[in-house]
Amino acid sequence: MVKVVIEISHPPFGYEHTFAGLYVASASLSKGYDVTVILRSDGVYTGRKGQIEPMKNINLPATEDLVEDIIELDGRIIIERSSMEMRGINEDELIDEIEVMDTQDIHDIILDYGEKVVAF
Amino acid sequence: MVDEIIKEKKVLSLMLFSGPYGSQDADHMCRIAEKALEKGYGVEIFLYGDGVHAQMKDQAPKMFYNVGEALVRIAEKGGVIKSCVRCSTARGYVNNEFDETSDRYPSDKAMDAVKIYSLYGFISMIKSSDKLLTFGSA
Repeated sequence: MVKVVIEISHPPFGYEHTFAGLYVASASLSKGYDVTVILRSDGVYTGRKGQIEPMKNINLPATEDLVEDIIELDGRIIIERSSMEMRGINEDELIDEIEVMDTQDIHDIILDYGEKVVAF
Repeated sequence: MVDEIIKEKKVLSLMLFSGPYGSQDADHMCRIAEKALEKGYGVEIFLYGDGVHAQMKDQAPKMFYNVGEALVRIAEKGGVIKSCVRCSTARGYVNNEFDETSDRYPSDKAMDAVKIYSLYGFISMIKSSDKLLTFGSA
């Protein structure tokens, strides 16, 4: 089973990158790949819960729906602790199944675990 | 066809996420693709997001490297080039439903060298690649 790491560092709003990365994640999972999504830099905003209703109100799709799909398909979603903290996001604001991880451990995943890394 | 390439050669897979001419991403990608073909690699390219604009017919930059002509050369040398149907549809390239005979979504705006395809075209490239490079996405 190919191990894919998808790193997302763009914010979920204003750019297509996050949608593009999460679509690659869910399509990879549906083909049986082992998928780890890493949210860092402005990508951490994708980890905040409570976005579905506000996005619906302005007629835009929410990345939170895609995150839930990935979790349901047994994808792993990791958020970088330092990126999260410097943007004032607390752990209790995150979508429940997201793991918070230190930068060094994330580097281990990128360098040692992932066979293919795709960055968005 | 990709499966046949995999058995014989090392495969370089490339993903382009930004459009041509606004940045040099497309140029860099095409140049390394041509070099890899010279070196005997199998080359696969996936155009994603604004990268799908690289498939537009009749590109005519006056001063810059012609990305459309480069993609045609790459395809003629055996490179496999696909583009995302969702992104292509959003940008007005797709005319109809998937056509089994030509193995692509039909388009009168995209070059024949590029097959408009589902995202699974890229998902299979992730698996088959010996090296995977992305341009314009990070």
